[in-house]
Amino acid sequence: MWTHPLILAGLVTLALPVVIHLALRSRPKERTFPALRFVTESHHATVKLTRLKHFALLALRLAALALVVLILARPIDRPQPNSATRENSPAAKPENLHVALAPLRVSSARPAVGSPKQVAVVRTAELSAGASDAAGLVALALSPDSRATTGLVPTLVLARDLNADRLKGVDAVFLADAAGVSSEGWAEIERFVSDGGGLVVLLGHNVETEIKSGHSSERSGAATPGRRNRGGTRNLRRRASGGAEL
Amino acid sequence: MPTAESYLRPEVIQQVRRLDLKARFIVEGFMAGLHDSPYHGFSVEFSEHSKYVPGDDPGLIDYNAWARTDKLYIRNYRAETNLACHLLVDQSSSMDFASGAGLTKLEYAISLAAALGYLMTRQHDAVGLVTFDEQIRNFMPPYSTRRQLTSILAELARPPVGGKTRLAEMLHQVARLVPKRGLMILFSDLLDDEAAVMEALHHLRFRGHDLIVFHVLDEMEANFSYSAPVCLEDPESGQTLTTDPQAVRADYLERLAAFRSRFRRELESRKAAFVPVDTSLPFDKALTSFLLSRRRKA
Repeated sequence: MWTHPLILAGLVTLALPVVIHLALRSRPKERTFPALRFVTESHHATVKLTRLKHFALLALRLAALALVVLILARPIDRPQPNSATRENSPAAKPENLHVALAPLRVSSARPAVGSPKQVAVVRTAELSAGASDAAGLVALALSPDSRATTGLVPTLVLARDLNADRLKGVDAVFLADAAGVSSEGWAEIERFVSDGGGLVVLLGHNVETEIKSGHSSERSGAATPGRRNRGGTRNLRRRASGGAEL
Repeated sequence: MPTAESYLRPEVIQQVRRLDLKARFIVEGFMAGLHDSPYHGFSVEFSEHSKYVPGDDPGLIDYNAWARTDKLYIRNYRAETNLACHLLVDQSSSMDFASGAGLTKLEYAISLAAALGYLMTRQHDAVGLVTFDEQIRNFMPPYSTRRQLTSILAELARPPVGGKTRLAEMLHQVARLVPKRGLMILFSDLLDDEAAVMEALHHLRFRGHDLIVFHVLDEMEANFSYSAPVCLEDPESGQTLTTDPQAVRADYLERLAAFRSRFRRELESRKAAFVPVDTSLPFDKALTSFLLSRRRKA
């Protein structure tokens, strides 16, 4: 997978050295040369080695060009879900998650002291504050140190452990780049949302998106969910109420 | 007006049309540039004493005369008249080659041969000429007359037929044709079967001839300084080869150097001289190496 797959078209430039060689190849000039016998001996002695060197040089040049193109296209290092999750949960298989995007409205008013919101952060693996992706930033934002500012009390729930018990008393669920949510887990999330719970889906490497709404937002990393559609794919529609208002 | 020494440069002598003038200019330029006369010890015999003056070669001081007279005298020599020299000029098509606008190998060889003929005639040595390609085209027995030089220069100035090289066979023929011992000076690119040529040269030495071989190559043959890929054609066999000169240059120069050193080693082991020259080399270097080799012999 690539961040900028279109740049891979730059691999066409690999043909450049070959084209330049063919275009600039001039016809050898004809010359009279009486001491040809020495040239013939030298030619037979060196031609194989020379050809080998030329091919090695061409291969190195092409490899350098290809490397530049691949670096520009930025390959994505997608972490593989562990085998236990893959075997036990059909939801672990890659599938389309249709997300209707809506801007995340964050209340400008400071949260009332004494009424912290309980949120569950669902993640494939343990969150770490040092992680550089979006989920890592969420972990940082929801850390106990930030509680006074955000008014949120986070609880980490691993995707494979998601069930009704874990969502009891929770006001909103953050799906932080979660891939391993089981079918039961999804049913639980749907039920939770139907009952008025908040859901924030954070896009990441494990979530493939298909933007359904007419606009894209700078905050498209956050989305509000709807219900699963009939076709089996998970279509989380935009909530009329404006999604998760925290 | 060019100075006398400038005529030693091939590109200057190229502008002189008459071969006799070429020979004269080369020799005069050569003599003008000399600080020490190379004649002493070369094909000469003692003639008289002269007073030593600072600058003369101390090696020529006659110490017997000094012991008798308490004065320093040096020994003067005059040329012998009984040296019979044959100039052997290879006129095969491979010699008729110049990579640039300069002298061809044959023109260079002819200029050098003419200069040597002129030099030796001045010393009253007998000079003869043999020109050949795949057969002997002209054979002139050696004479020391002035007229002989004119005939030799006229013969050298004649355009060559330009057949294939049969150097070894020609040298065997010359060895058989010349019964009297003398000096043989060969001008050739030696582009024939190496072992056969070597054997023919041994044949000449075996017959008692002194031997000097001028290995004449074109500047490009000596340096192989082509820059772009070239399709080379042998003028004698018609064989062609397309190659990248930059790739083969080092190996080519190595092979050429080995070829020349084999000839040098073989000839010097038989007390003959081998003088490698190319068409960019000034004539005085060729003449000096020739005279020095004669001097060592004397």
